[in-house]
Amino acid sequence: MKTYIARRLAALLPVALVVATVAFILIHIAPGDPAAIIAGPDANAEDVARIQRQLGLDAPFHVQLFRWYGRLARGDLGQSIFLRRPVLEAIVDRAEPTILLTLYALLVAVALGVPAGVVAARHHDGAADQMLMAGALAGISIPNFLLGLLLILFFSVWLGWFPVAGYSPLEYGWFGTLRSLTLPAFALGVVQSALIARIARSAMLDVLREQFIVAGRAKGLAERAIVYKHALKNAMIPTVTVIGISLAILISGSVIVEQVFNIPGLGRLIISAVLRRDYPVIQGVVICIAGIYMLVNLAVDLSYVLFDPRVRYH
Amino acid sequence: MKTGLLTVALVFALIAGVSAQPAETPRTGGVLRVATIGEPPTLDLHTTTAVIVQQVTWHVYETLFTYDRQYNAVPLLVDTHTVADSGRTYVFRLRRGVKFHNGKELSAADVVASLKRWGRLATPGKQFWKNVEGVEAKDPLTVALYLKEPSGAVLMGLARPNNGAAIYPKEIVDAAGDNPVKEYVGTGPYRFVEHKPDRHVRLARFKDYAPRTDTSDGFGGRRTAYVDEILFIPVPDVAVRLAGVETGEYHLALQIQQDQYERMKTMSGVVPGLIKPEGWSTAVLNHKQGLMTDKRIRQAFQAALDMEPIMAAGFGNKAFYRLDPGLSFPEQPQWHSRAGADLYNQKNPAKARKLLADAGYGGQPVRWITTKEYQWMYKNALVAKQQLEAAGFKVDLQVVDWATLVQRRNKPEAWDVFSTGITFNPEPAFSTATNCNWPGWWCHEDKEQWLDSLARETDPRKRRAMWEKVQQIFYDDVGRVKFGDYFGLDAVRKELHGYRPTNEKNLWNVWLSR
Amino acid sequence: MSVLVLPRPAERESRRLLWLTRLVRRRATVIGLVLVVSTLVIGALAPIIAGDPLRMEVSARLTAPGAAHWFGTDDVGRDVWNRVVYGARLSLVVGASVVVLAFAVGLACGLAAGYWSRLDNPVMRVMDGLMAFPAVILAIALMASLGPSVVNVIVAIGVVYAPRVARIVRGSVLVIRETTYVEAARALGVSDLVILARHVLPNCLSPVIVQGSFVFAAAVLTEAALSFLGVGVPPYVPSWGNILAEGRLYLQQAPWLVVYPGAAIMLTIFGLNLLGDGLRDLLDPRLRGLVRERS
Repeated sequence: MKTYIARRLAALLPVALVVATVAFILIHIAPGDPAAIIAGPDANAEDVARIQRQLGLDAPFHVQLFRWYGRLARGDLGQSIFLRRPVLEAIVDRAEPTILLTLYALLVAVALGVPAGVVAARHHDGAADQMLMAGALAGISIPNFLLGLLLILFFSVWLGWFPVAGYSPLEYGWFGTLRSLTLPAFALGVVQSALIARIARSAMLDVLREQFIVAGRAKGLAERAIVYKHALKNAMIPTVTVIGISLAILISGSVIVEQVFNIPGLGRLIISAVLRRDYPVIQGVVICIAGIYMLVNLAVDLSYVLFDPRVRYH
Repeated sequence: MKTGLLTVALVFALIAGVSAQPAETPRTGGVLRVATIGEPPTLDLHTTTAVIVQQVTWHVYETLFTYDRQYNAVPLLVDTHTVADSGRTYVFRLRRGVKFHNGKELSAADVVASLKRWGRLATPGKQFWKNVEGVEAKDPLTVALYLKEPSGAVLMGLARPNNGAAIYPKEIVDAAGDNPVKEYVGTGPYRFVEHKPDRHVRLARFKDYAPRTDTSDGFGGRRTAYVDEILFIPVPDVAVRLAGVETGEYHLALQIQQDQYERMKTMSGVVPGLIKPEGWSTAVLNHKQGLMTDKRIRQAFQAALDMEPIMAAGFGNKAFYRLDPGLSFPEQPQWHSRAGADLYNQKNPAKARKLLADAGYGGQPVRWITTKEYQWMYKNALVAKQQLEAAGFKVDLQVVDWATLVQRRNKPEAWDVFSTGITFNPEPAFSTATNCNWPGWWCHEDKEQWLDSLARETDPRKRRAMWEKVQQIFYDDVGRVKFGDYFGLDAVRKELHGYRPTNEKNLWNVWLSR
Repeated sequence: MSVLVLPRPAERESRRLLWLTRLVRRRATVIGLVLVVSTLVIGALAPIIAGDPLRMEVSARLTAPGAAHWFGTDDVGRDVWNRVVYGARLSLVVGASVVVLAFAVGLACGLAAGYWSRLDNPVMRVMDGLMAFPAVILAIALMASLGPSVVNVIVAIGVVYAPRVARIVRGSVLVIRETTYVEAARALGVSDLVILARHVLPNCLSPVIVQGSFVFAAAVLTEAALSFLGVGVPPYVPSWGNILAEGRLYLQQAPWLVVYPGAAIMLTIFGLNLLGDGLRDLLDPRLRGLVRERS
């Protein structure tokens, strides 16, 4: 098992390298001189030249690339042009709402999706199955920002149960935070739950057809025991995989939903950075998010050890 | 008999007491949350004319004079002043015991340093300083201002809030030089606490504030900080801004789209705040570089436009805009004029086409920068673009955020036209609309002479005639292109009392009832 | 007409008929097909069935749907029907182009990685690296660099989805590479490229085709999201995302600004998903086998 973990970690390295390289390239495929972009729209020719020297942008490409790797390894993500502070600081500042929103949305997605998928599988081809799957299909067809707008209309403007926008930081009390994140979490989570439901259902169906299930039935085990003890555990692998993928999609989605609900998280940070061409921030945010995603995937991979004993001896 | 009278008296006293009940007694405390259109590009008032900066910072900084309800200049940091040498020397005696937020007491040295910096860096400041011979501190509480020529606009110039002559401590001025100041310290009723970009600017009550003792009138007189803190929160999305006031998230939301007025009237708990006038919408043309340096192209631009749909698209409700050629507003009868009206709102694409042909226009795109942060700017530009293209122009409309627009407009090579609003300004001598130094760089010899004379003249009727001359040149030379007057709309929570909707948005003397 | 290619030529004809009948018999798939084809037709016929989406009739701003304006007008007087129809056109252009781009790049990379084991690791690491960025985030970052334009949106979304296609293709190729007839062809000295073209490529098309529908749907959705956020197509290009973004403020007083483009997005994506599901069920036995062996 230790070798399994070690191997998974080692496999991350080349991926991390590619991620860092892609982030580096972003500023170089933009039209215009990278130094002029970093100096900002307000700078004159001498400022641009100074930035060029300071950041070593006059060095050859591969030299710059290696220096970039070095900076990343030290955790230096550069300086934001518009915010005039280190990018890492700006990210850490904004991380709280995005992390909370993503976790909340994941909770919603799993709480809605997994039971729906399991129930649908259990009543395969019955009325419940058809309805749930139709609902799921509708769920993945609605963009999360559209759902967000509709939720605002119903629950904030008409019913007044939730704030229409904004974020209440944790320091002001967790209840306020939960309340301000509920509609965005549902806008994100409902769409994702549909996906999870579909995968959970098909995974369950696969497993239910397996030999050992048939054998269990033949042995006279109770239906409930079969479904929940044996089948579910085996269906967890693809389900956990999709939950891991869901996290990536949710982080993506939170970018959009944060705009709809005016939540000052990483999503708003990257959007305003894009509109202002604040490249250091864009690069920093994509690296952080990709990094989080890689770690989540690693965690998912490692979790297989819990669900599938065969993995240990792979 | 006596008991009868006594009873009556008691009853009367009771009734009087009850009816004097504090529906309107200011309550101290609370955090005032204000939703603004976006991030202020800086917090150094000397360096920018961006309105959002003034709206935030003038709670922190104070000027020597300010405006009363009629937009006349009244003293603020000044106690008394005298005018000598037939109007060429102004001697200001400062109020005693005014403290800066860092504990230092206000002295003449601070005023001199701040005024000099304002004269160097600020657009109206530079205009003002053209007429200044010198300024000095005669003693710790006395400042003398020496002018080259007598002027009728000195006090108004010093009172102007936008890009105003804020008084900073001398040490901070010296440390910053011509770069933006690093600390934001003033004498105002609120002190600067923190600025978290894209989150908020936080101000807190300044405990040692030294208010004036005269009754408050307009922005003058006594300023009291009732609320504990003010949070300016950038909410670029106007839908979210308005919705936030509806749910009580924010107490005040600025720059609400005018066509939301009808809907706002039906919202319980929300009071629409009308600002009449707020300003006039304009396209600023680049006279320094690019297509617009050719007068015929400018004239074509001016001729092609039909202002009614432009303004209607931007402001929706007819109650919120008005077509008028004046550089000043009808609300200012002492300045308003219709000079050049025949060149305003010509609706003549044929004429435009001919002018373009004469100029040899080859279809080069006119680069127009606008922003969606002020919704109406974007819509004005969109409709104008359609009209211009129907007249033969090719327009490249670039939509950016306001902070970028304010920075980019300083570079003459980057644009041909940009959108903005000229906000209400009671003193034409320092108007940015006609200023040669302001982006657009519209410098015209005759116009500069008239403006200089205007700054110096003291007779109101002569001043008015001069301003009319400037307006005529504005249209003949196509300095800028005015679309029309617009009125502003703020959304105010009913829990916010004492708030008077103005352009400048003062948040002292207001209190929260909840 | 038939895009489904089978390994054993003799059975092709009868199998094809069987599959077509199975396709038609599933009502859901037919609905999906109808929706997708309708959107295609509407988008293609846009210049004929709709007027100028950019024309502003300011005096008629914010009118409710009626005879003159079927879907009403927006806040600057543009006809919403025109904009939604041209929005369909844009979505289709973007969706189709993204599919073509993602498949071209994905097939090339997947074939190369699957067939030549020396290329497997480097190519797949790059693909994994690209997939480490959540789709919308990478698209946003790319749009930041490239600037707003329709072509750039296509490139950005195409780059985002190419790795996913590559991965599926590679999986198929790995299996097909081990089959006897490929080994035989190699033993006979047939050139690699011919093998790839004649034997490998046709057999990995089935899972790829299923993905086509989903990639299309994802492209439409991603473009709408990017435009909604203001980092997609330029503001004057009619896109469902743009229309939604501009209509937000008028949600209560002019709901048609959100309802019609919203419905258009939902129906198109719903249709594509139904179609994708149907195709996948059709190819089920083959797909299943591949999936099992790959994991």
